[in-house]
Amino acid sequence: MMMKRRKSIPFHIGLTIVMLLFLMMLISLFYTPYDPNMMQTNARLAKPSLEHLFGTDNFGRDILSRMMQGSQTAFLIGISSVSVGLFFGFLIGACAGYFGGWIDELCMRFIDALMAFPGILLAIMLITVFEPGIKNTILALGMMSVPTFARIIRSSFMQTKQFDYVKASKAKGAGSIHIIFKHILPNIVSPILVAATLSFSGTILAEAGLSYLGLGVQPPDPSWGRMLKEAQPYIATAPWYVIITGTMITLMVLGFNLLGDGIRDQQDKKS
Amino acid sequence: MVEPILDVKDLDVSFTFPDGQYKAIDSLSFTVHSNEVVGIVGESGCGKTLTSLAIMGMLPDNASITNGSICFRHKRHLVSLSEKEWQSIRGRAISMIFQEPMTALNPVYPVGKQISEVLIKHTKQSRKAIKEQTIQLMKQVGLPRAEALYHSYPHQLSGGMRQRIVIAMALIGEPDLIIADEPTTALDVTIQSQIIQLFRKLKQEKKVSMLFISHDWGVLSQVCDRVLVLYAGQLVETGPISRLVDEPLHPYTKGLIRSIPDRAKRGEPLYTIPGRVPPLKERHRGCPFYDRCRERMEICRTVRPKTVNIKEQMVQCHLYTEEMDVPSS
Repeated sequence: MMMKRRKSIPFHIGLTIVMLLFLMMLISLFYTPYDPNMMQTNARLAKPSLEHLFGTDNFGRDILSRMMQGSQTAFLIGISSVSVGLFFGFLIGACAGYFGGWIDELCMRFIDALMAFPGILLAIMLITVFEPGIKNTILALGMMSVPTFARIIRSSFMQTKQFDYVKASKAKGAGSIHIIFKHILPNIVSPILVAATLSFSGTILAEAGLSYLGLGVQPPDPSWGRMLKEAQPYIATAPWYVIITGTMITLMVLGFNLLGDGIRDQQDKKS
Repeated sequence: MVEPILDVKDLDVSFTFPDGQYKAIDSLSFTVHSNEVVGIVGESGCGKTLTSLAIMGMLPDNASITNGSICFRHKRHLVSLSEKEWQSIRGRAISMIFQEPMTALNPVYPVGKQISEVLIKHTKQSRKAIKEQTIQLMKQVGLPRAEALYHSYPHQLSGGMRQRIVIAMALIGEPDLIIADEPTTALDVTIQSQIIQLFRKLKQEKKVSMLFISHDWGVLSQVCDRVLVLYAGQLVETGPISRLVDEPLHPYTKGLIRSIPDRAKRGEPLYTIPGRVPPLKERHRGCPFYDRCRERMEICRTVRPKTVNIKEQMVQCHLYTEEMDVPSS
């Protein structure tokens, strides 16, 4: 029963964008055209040219180099905060979905409380109480995505729990932990993967937003969101700065959204 | 007399709803002896599956045992076990065969792994020994090329093969009791007869004791020694399978037997018992079968009949009394 798997076009576009950005991040670990923090006062706000492909910013720093290093931060924050969100989301969602009853009630009311605050507001609050920086940004953005993960994982658990093979495994004498990790988790990987991919782009956007407000990543760590903020005063004199930075953020978000949608389409086709 | 493997006494299982408790199984008593296959028969909603779940300690959250005892060999009382104790019994002492071979196997694991899971859980043998034992058993349940099949995934197997895998899964722990919940219902007729042959073979060779739930008298008569007839959570009649088929006493058993399609009845409309099993919330104190009974009397409406022994059969009906020797009709 081999089914011919046709991947959708959005899936391919998304995958290509994400792979290219990832490649850019990898290269930046070893090589950037210029030192991202080197200032050239004689070449401030230079137009894109062969020397500076994306031009320079208000301090004469090479935008391409800063962009490349900024992608490290974007990926770091994206991956870490999705992991944080996934970890706590799984913990809460799995307990709620598997055990049900009053444990479910308790977990879901907690999630409801978390959802009552708009995510970005919650993140701003956390960062203001603690201090801005990469670590706290990751935690704050992770917390922001916990409710989504918890809900998706809970409903997947409730659905999978009904299947006979879960009952059969219980009838074989398996304990709860074994059933949760060995029998249910492998069967709900795809919805989790879709949620994680889609949440990735949301996280990147939120990070850019926080950094734009000056609450996210702090200098000297480069960040796309802060670059956008820095570019704002020069929108008339050096429009490429804003355009390039904005385009990068858009590409990243678009890439992960298309990828997530593509995976979901495929999953729908299978079932 | 030998000590029974399973001794269920006065078992009550109730569902708790917001508006109160309702008995779904009402003072059920029966025993299963060593190397005996006991069938449970009845319409849907009579409590067959609930009985098996109660014995496995896997009742749904809103159901509980409200009275009676389930005594497993060596005088272990199953009703008061903790979840941890249950885990050591399930799979090892009592195991279960599920109805749907399509859903009883986890799609993401090779079937061999799923069979050996029981041994990994309950014994301390090496992985290699476990694998060998699994393959050995897969051959015994009639799976060809067991070595290759060990690594196959459920979707690569046919329904009959999957059911053999499920049966192997129940046998591997060498349990004292196997509960089979309609193990042949989801299979087509040819595969069904092969699986029945397998059960007969297992009974002879492995000396298994089984609780066999079915609503197919044909299947029951081929594998069972004794049959319990359940109606609305109550045991209405029990006895050796041959006696029940030839001379059913309870009007409900008579109805069930009459509604089996038969070549001799060709051309006649198939007999059905009028009405339906009373829903959980509408059961009254008299005989549960009163509403649908063809031989009902006034007493049946208000008084629950006592259990009467007639030869090897036991029946719960006002038509019979202890002194009676042979049924009148």
